[in-house]
Amino acid sequence: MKTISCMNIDGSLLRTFGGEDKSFKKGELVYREGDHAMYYFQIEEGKVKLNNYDDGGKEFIHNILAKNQSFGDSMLFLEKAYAMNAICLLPSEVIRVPKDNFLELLKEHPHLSVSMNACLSHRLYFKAIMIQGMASQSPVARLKGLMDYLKSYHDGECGQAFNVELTRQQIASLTGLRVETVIRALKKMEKDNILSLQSRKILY
Amino acid sequence: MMSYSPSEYIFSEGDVPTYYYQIISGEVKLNNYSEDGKEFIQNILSAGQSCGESILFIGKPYPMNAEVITECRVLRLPKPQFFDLLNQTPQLFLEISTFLSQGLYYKFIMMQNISSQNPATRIRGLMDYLKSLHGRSDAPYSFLIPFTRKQVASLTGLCVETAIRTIKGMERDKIVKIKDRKILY
Repeated sequence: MKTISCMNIDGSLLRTFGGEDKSFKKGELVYREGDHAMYYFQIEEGKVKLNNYDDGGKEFIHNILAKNQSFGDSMLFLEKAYAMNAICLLPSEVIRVPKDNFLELLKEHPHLSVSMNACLSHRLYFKAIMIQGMASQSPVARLKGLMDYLKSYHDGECGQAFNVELTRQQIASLTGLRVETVIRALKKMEKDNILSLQSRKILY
Repeated sequence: MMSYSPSEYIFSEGDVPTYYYQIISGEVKLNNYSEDGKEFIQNILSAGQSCGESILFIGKPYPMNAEVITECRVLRLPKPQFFDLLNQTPQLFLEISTFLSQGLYYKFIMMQNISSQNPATRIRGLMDYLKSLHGRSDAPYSFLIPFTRKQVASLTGLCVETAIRTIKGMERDKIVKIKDRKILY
C-alpha cells in the first residue's frame, strides 16, 4: 500500500476495538482547541476542516480532510491539548476509538504500528519542506511547499491533479502572504505549468 | 560508533538514507541552504536524540542536511538492522510515534510563527515553545535560550541583523533579560 500522510484503518477492525459511529451536523465541532486528545478519528463520510483563529480573529485552515482519512491522531501520542479545532464542513459520519483502545489496537497489529510511523514520518517530511518554503522570501516556494504538504494526504494516481480546496484568502493567511501576492504567484505557477487554474479551482 | 568534527555532515540533502543515527554526545543541526546561501535550521538536536529517523520510513532522499555543531559521537545502525530491532521490540514503535508526533507539533508551532510578518512574534513563538519543551515554569526570565542569535535567526527565517534588533527591542519591552550576551526568557 502506498503511504500517505494519514491513516485509513478498516472500519470493522476499529469497531472491534470499541470504535463508535458518530454523526455530526454541518458546522459542528468534533473537538476544540484546548481539548485533551481522547479519541482516534476517521471519516466515513463527509468533510472536516482543521483550523484555528489568531488573536485578531483571522482563520487559519490547516487542512481539509474527507472520506477514509484520519485526523488528530498525532496528538494521541503527546500529553498536550489540541492546538486546533476540527469542524465539519458537511454532515459527517466519523468513527471514533478511545485513545487507550487505539493504542491497544496498534500493539496487537504491529503492521498498523509500522503504518502509523510511516504516516507520521510522511507528514513530517512534507511539513519540513513546507516550513522551508515558508522561510523563503519567494511566494512561489511558499505556495509550492503548502501544496505539496496538502497533496501528501491524498493517494491520487500519479499525474492526477489534486484539487486544492482552499480559497486564495485562506492560502494567503496560511503562507503569510497578501491575497494579491497569492493571486499573482498562482498565475505565474500556471504559466510555468506547475499547476492549472480552472474557473476558480486550483489543480496541482 | 562514529565521530564527527564541527561543520562535518552526517548526511546531506539528497542522500538516500541507509542508517539510523543516534547522538551520544555533541550537537547537530538539521538545515537547508537556499539558493542565495541563506541557512534555514529545521531543528537542533543533542545527546540522546535520534537524527533523521523519520526518513527511514518513507523511502525518499533526505530533504535536509545534518551538520555537526560541536564535536559529536554518533551511534549508527544500518537500516535493515534497525527494522529488525523494531520488529523484535514492538514497544519501540510507540516511542517512535511519540517522537515523530512531537516533531510534528513543533513544526506546527513554527509554521504559525513563520507565517507572521512580525519578527518579535516569530522569535517569541520559538522561545515559548522551547520553554514549554523544557518543562520550565512560566516565571519570567527563568529560561536560558540555548541558542546563539544567528541560530535564532536561522530557526525563524530572519536575517541575523533583524534577530539582534528584535531581541534588543524585546529587552526594552521587558519580555527578555540579557546577561553577558545570554538571553533569559
